[in-house]
Amino acid sequence: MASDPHIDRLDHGRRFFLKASMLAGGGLALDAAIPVKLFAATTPNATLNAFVSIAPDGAVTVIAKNPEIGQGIKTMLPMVIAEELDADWANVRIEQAMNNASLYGTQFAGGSFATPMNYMPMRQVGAVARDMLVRAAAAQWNVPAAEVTTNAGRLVHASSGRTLAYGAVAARAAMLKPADPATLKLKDPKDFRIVGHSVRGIDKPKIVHGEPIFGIDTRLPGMLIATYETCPVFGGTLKAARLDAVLKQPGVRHAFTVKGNGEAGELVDGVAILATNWWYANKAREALEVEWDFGPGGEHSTAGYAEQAEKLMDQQPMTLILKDGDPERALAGAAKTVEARYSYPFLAHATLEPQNCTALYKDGKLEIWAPSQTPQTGLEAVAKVLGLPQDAITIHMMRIGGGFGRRLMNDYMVQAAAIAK
Amino acid sequence: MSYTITVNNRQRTVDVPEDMPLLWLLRDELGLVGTKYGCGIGLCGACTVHIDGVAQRACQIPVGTVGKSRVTTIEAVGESEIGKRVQQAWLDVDVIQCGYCQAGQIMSATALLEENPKPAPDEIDQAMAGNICRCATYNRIREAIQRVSGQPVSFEAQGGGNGL
Repeated sequence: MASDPHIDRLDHGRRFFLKASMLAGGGLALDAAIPVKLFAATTPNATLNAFVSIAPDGAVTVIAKNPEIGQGIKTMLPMVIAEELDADWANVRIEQAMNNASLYGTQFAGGSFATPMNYMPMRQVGAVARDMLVRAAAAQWNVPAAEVTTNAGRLVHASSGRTLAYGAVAARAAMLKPADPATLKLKDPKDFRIVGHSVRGIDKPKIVHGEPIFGIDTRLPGMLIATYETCPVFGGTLKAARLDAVLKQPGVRHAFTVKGNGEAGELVDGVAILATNWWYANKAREALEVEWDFGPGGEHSTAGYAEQAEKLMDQQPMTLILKDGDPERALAGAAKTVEARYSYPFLAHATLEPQNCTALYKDGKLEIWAPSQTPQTGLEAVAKVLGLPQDAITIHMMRIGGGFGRRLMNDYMVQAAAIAK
Repeated sequence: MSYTITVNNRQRTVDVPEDMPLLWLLRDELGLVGTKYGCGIGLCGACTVHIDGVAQRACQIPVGTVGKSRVTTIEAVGESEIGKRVQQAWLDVDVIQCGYCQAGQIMSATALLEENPKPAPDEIDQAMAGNICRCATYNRIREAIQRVSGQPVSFEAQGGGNGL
């Protein structure tokens, strides 16, 4: 029933977006390839690759590479790794990755592409780690690796009846060179023990108990909370701000103007008010006197757009979006015809978690805690606008309280970073 | 102004203006960030807490009006039998998607069930109407409440969006 032109247009837009994501993500299969980095054993946990480490007691830590926004990816991608690792899911702990494209490949949430893009690479990550465990056990038992199998967290040598827990050989396995994943045989999906079974989201118990896991829950010692007053018109610039009265408001510690680069998705001009409590910072805005130069955007208005839309609707259609059958003939022969015009306002994304970001600038390094769908893009924007090298910036990917596309933009990340600096 | 208020059975003394809403006292003065800031104007329900057992929007309650009332937040709602069962039902039914609204949902659901152990479907809808879920997990929220109340689930639960 794709006869509603609005529906068709929505689909059209979505397909276009997905295609763009595909191109952007085309590099993933290469990037996400298999991590060959072996870290020195600075912890008792043996690190088999960027995604998998195993403690002597058999606890398996698996890294979840993508931002979690409620789609369940923080649980799902580790399930795929654990499947090919042949781990016991009860012994798997999941850790959210830092944003680090060189270790984890492309990291983003948007377009419903995480599973198709990551399914095979994540299987290979698990298979490479499993192969290292198998070869370590074979060496320990002095038997050919081909005779060693695995069974939910244990290595098995069937003919001699010997078994070893993963934890017992993990340190030895971590010294081995990872195999080329193309040479490894993956599981037959009919043998899957984890994938294909219902596994509950790893963080859901934390949510029902109110534990701090969202971006906005980040609390650092001595941190201040800022509001950022920006021009109500896109493209506007700051002319002048009087801050004396703001600085006298309760709880306010600092107030200053920030020069933007004019990009709405990066940093627009604004006034930052920093206080010990969000409510103080927000209330102090009442004492702020600020003058904006609206620029050409000042001529735009919702009423003006509606008027323009009406005029366009009175003209002949510019593009034919969909024609199914012979509507002219059908309408000419109809007993009754109904005509209507529909209009939609611009939609707000209305994420329930307000846009927010925590930034700590110290000794030329910037550490960021952000609920972003595209942390890598955010990192690039922060580096560009603040003039920092990318490797001076680290980003913690916090759970996201709704995005709906709003958090594909990282303006709040650049704002917080600029204010912190 | 110095206030001593009872939060989760603990006396907390704070020095804040009387018109500071309870929400920012909890989040930014006491560090109890489980209570969520959503809209700040009493429209979304994310900041729901119990004041003497009644569900209230913390962003609309000035500190100066709390007095000797007992404030309970999501961090301690599981200390009551009903609250604990509601939390478990939320997990059993797998209600949560992005999860940002769910602290408020759980607080509203618990207050409802404390007062009305067997709410009818329309009573559930009425009690929960002020709690917005942007991922649209409403059907599962109703199912979880019906499970806690020992009533049959009145319709097939359906999924919502995926937060993207």
